[in-house]
Amino acid sequence: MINLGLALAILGAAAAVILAGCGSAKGVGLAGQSAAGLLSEDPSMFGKVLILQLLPGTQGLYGFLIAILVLVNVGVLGGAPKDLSWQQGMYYLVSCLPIAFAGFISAIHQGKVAAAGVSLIAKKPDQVGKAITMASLVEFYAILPFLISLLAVLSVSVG
Amino acid sequence: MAKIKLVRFEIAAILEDSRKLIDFLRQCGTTELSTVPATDGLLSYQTDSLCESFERKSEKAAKCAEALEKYCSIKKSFLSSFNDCTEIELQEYRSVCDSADELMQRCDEITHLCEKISFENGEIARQQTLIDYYKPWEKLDIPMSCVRTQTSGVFIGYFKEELSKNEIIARLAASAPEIDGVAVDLVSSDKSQTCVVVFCFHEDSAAVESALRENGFIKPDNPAKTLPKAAIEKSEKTIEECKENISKFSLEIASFASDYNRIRLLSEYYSNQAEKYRTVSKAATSERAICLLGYVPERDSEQLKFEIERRFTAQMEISEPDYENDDVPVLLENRSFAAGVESISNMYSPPSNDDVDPNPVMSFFYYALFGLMLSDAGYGLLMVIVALVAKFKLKFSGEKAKTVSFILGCGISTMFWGALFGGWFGDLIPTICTHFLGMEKGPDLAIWFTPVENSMKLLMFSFAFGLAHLYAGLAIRFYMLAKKKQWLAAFCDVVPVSIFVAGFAAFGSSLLVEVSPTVKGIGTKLLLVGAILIVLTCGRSSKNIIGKLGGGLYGLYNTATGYLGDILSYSRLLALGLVTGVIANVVNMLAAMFSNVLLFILVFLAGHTVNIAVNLIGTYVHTSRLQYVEFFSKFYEGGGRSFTPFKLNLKHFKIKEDTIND
Repeated sequence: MINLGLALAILGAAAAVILAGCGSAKGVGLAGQSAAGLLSEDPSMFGKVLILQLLPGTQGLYGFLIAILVLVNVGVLGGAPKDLSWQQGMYYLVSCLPIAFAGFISAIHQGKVAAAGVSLIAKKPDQVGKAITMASLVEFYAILPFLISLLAVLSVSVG
Repeated sequence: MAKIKLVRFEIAAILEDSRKLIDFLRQCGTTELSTVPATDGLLSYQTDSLCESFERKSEKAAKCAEALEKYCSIKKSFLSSFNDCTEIELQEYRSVCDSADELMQRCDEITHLCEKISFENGEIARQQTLIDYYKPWEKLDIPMSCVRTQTSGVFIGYFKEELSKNEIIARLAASAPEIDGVAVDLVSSDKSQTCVVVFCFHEDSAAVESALRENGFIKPDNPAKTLPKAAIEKSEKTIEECKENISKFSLEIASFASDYNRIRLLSEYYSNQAEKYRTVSKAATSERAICLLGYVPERDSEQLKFEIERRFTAQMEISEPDYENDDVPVLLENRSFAAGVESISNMYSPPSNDDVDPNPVMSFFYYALFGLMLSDAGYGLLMVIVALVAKFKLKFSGEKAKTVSFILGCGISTMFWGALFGGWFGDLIPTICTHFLGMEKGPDLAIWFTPVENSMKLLMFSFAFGLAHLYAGLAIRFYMLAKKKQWLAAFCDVVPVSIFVAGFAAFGSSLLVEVSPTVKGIGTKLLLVGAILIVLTCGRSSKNIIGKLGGGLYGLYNTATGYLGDILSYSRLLALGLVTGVIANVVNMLAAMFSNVLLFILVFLAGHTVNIAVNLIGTYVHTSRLQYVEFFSKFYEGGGRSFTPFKLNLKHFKIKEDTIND
């Protein structure tokens, strides 16, 4: 049973996972390029650099999580799609937008900060704590929209 | 259990004793030496070149040990790849020290053999290149350098494209139509090149050559003077010989296998010698005496003074460190519970001499928040098992032991929270019950409540934990200021903010959930009182009244926005906890979709491995961040330097305790 409501909800889930995922891919990619540069000089830094590189990856995870919750809520995962009105579908679509957009932008910027952090610890390896902290400051602005998306999706059950 | 008090010492001894004195200090392992300031008449040892030569020797021995590992196939157990540390008796170390020169000679031999092997390897690579080069010409039955026979001109070369015999003849005919009697022999051809031999009459040679060049014909750079096939065979034979030599040299290296441990120890001996002479260069000497300066824990100082004055012709003075002008190091000592998080606070910065040791308080919050964020009892159980295996099987010491207790603390806390929230590898048990045991609904394992269904409740609790964390930070600040007897600052910096935040929390929670009107009323009043106090106290450093008022208002704005941000930041406790739990559930759901036990186990293992890895890193980073940004900003300055005692430092060996004191 597929109708406009369901399609809108899936569109929301898709937007969350696509945009946040693209942002994370870009962010992790940026950090990874710097990280590889540093590792060519000093392979023993792998552990520290890995954390920095993975930091921008969480946005993709948040988007994925919201998408899964939407799919569960509308019954696509579970095999029995619910009969959603277009307003209900729209509700899910809009609920997904915070993490979709904020995840996209924040992951890219977090990637840039992480890449800069890699250059920081290339020169001063003992400053890794600060490099990680700076990158995680950016992430907070993905966590807030994630929470809003999460609360919006969890609070309402349809059908 | 906190910071250990250090005292400064100065030792003056007669020069003859200097060597023994330094050895004695290294054996004690309780002192850190600093550079004696330059004064007239005092000299210092120049040991740079000596240290460098020791380091080179250490490196050489380490490389030899690596070579022995490679050629003697020295087997290491799986566990030892985590803890590569052999227990030895002091006697063994001494014998290595005594026979250092002899061992170094063996290292020279091993190094020489390694060089020979790498030379042979180079030769093999060179011959291999030659073989690759001659390979396309293998079928040629005249030497490649041949340019003419009695009757004809010969051109041996190649085109950089794939051509057939007819194509080449056609091209030659097009370039030089007047020439007759050209024969083309195709030796080999592939996509990148076509090797050919072209014959013509002597008188046509010049014309044919220019026609060939026009069509991209290239002569080989170094043609073999023999048949290509013979050249290939010769190279192959050389390679065989090289390989034989290599295996001969490898066997020779392998004959040193019994010295493996002694050579590794030699490497460490030389790196310790380098360290020793670097320390020696910090001392100052006159014609008859040597002077040392450094720091030692107060509890060890009297004993050290007694021993030094008893053993040597020396005088030792102990004094209070000059915190203002000298770079005084910081020594921390914590029980294993708190010591686990030392690496976290050191990553930020070791405490300065003004700071208190943050680790005891921080460890409690670190473990609690870490567990709350990961919150899966199954994952916690895995961490606990790993930590316990490491603790009892590998017997780490030093920093690694601290890491183990860190993992153990985090694991226990994760188990605790996971059990409260009913997460055991996500909803593994309910999934198994419904999918494989045919039950209608799995059991509810949550001792407290399930976060996914009560996310608002957990959000409020996250903020509450955050408040507790922030108040702990403020309390430490109060303690630090009170210890310095700065009572006014202690009161003004901490009390108004505490009142304000308490009111803010009570008032704020009334906006989100229903609270009793009394709480809301008290909250509003506290908020107002706190705000007024902040305005009154924050600008106290200003001289005039306008400055004071401005400073106060600015302080109020800063406090309000700062603490709002800080508290909201703890919402990540909910977010990351849910991420772990929900992804674990998704993995279980995907695994159960196949209704096949084997596939279930495969998907389960793969999915949870990824989930653990990603969430461990995320949780580690975000818990650390909560300490650095929210907690440390309340009281911690950092910027200190860790106390690094001068002692024998062996990386891969541990000298048995009972053999040291002889």
